[in-house]
Amino acid sequence: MKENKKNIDRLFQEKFRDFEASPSEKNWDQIREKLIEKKDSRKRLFPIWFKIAGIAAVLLVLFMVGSFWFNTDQNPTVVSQEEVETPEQTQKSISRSQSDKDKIDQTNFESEHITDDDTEMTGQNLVSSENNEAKSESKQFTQKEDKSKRASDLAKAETTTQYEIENNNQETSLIDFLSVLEEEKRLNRNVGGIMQTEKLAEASITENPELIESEGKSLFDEIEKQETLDKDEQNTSTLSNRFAIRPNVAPIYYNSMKGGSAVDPSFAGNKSEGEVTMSYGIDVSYAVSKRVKVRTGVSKVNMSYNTPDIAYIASSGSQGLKSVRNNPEARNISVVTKNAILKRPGEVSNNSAAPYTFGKLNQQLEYIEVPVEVELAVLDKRFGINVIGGASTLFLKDDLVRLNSEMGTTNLGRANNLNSVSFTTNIGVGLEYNITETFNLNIEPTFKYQINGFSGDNGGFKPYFFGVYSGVSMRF
Amino acid sequence: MGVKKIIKGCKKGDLKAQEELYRLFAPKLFGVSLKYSRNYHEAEDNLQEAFLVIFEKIHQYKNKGSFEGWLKRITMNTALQTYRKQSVFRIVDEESIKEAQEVTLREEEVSLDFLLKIIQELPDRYRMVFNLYVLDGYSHKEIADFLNISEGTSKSNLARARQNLKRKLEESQTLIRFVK
Repeated sequence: MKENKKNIDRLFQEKFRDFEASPSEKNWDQIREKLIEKKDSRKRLFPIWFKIAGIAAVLLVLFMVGSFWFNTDQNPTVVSQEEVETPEQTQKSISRSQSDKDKIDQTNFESEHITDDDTEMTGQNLVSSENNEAKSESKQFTQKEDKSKRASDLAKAETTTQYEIENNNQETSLIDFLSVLEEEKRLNRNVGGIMQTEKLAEASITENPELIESEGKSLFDEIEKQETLDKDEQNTSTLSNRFAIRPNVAPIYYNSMKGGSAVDPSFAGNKSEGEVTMSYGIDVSYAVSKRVKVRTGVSKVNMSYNTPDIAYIASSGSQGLKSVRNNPEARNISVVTKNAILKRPGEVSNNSAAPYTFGKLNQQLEYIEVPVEVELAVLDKRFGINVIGGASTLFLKDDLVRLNSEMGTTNLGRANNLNSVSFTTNIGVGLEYNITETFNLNIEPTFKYQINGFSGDNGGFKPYFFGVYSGVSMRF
Repeated sequence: MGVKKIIKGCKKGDLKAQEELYRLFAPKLFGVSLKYSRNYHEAEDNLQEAFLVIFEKIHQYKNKGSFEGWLKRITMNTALQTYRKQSVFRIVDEESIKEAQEVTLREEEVSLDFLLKIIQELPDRYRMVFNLYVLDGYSHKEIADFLNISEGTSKSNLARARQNLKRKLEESQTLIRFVK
């Protein structure tokens, strides 16, 4: 039996060269599970938002149907309408707050998930930095001694700078740091290696002079500091982008669900013809979360519609139209439906309405609209899809009733049955395209149903308007 | 699938590519993991943790330098972090220890399993220092920075690790002799 003396280091080095081992098969399965879990927690948001958006849409539709239902009363007063709406609205707000709660729960879950990992990481660092503090306390003396020795020793000046270069790199990350070390090792093997590292060190010192001061601090303090800095940066960047401003323009099509005219109930049997007018406005949105935005704004909306198949005649004794009866311009003009004229035998022939003139009754409205809407993102990529729901308050700015015929246009003045403040319920779909982080193009076909535009009997005139709002929004 | 293609897939978060990467590198990285861990079980945990970090940070790998080296460093670093977290501050006798560089072996062959076992049995910091210095070729200065200890501590830890290993190696030899 021969005895052989062996260098311990060499023994291990030889044995562990190209050391490989197979982990058990279940190991990958566990990694896989964790990977899928991570992905799922990101994906899970999507269907829930689908649901919430769906609920919001259904509620809005119900709300609209509800207001239809209650509006069938022929003489609804403003007060009774509002009373009728209140339970609906509260119901809506309750379920909205419920869905909000859902959302909050969801986001909490998300953030819990995320912070779990984070705290684990920072926890590690915390613990270790505690240890390190303790250690470095006891080591302080030796380290200081070490450093002063090194500093005084000219021959070892290089080592100190090298030490600093390492410290700099520790700040970025330990992994990077390790790779730099390997790089350094390679460099040091060269003859000129030391010269190069010295240069590097000098460069980095001039770049980050404050780092020299932080030499004494532990590696993990630095990493932690860096992490909190990064986090702060992230927070401020997301916060600063919550607001967006959007000038918008839309062609508006205004019409009544049931035909007729708001000017006089006697035209209830007539059709109504919507006209395309324009809306201009600006709105500001605030991102409550990644997928929910609330927005408000102001826009000027013009609307116009015609009631065709009417006939009019100048007559001093006529009653005039209900809502323009008291206007001096309208007092001496009698306006009736075409059918009423044609039914009177003797007065007119079938082909000619003389002395009546056939034409269209036109009403124009101008409102200042203040919408309050919620935007839910269904798809949130470069190309985005939103579901929009909300309500607008309309302030009447101007209006005009006039008669159009081949003979020309006759103004009848303003209508007296328009409410100065009215409301609409809004529902729409927004399509957007993000050009850059800050700018996006969007187009939103939106349907708005006006609730109490007119007071008194308006012959079942149920106005709505449909607009295709387009604009460029800018985040800030 | 070539490594480059696998990396690309992993950057996209493709589960198939991630599995390929695992199959390709798990044995090497498990080797690293085993050296730095206390036992087989902890080595597996460490490997899992390391792969999750790898998949998370793979977009930071810019095809510069050795990919395998990058993977190994992450695996090693994961272990260092774990034991930095776990190691309770222990008072180490800093006085110089008698250097034990050589071991007397009666047997030609010492099994790798046994060597691994005695490495894993070392106190955490001795194991870290021994692995970093002897097996992975880092200098005391580098180790001092990794572990936030002084160079002197690194040197004395290494000496103690060697002493510990030598004792266990020699004990095993005696055992073998007794058996024979």
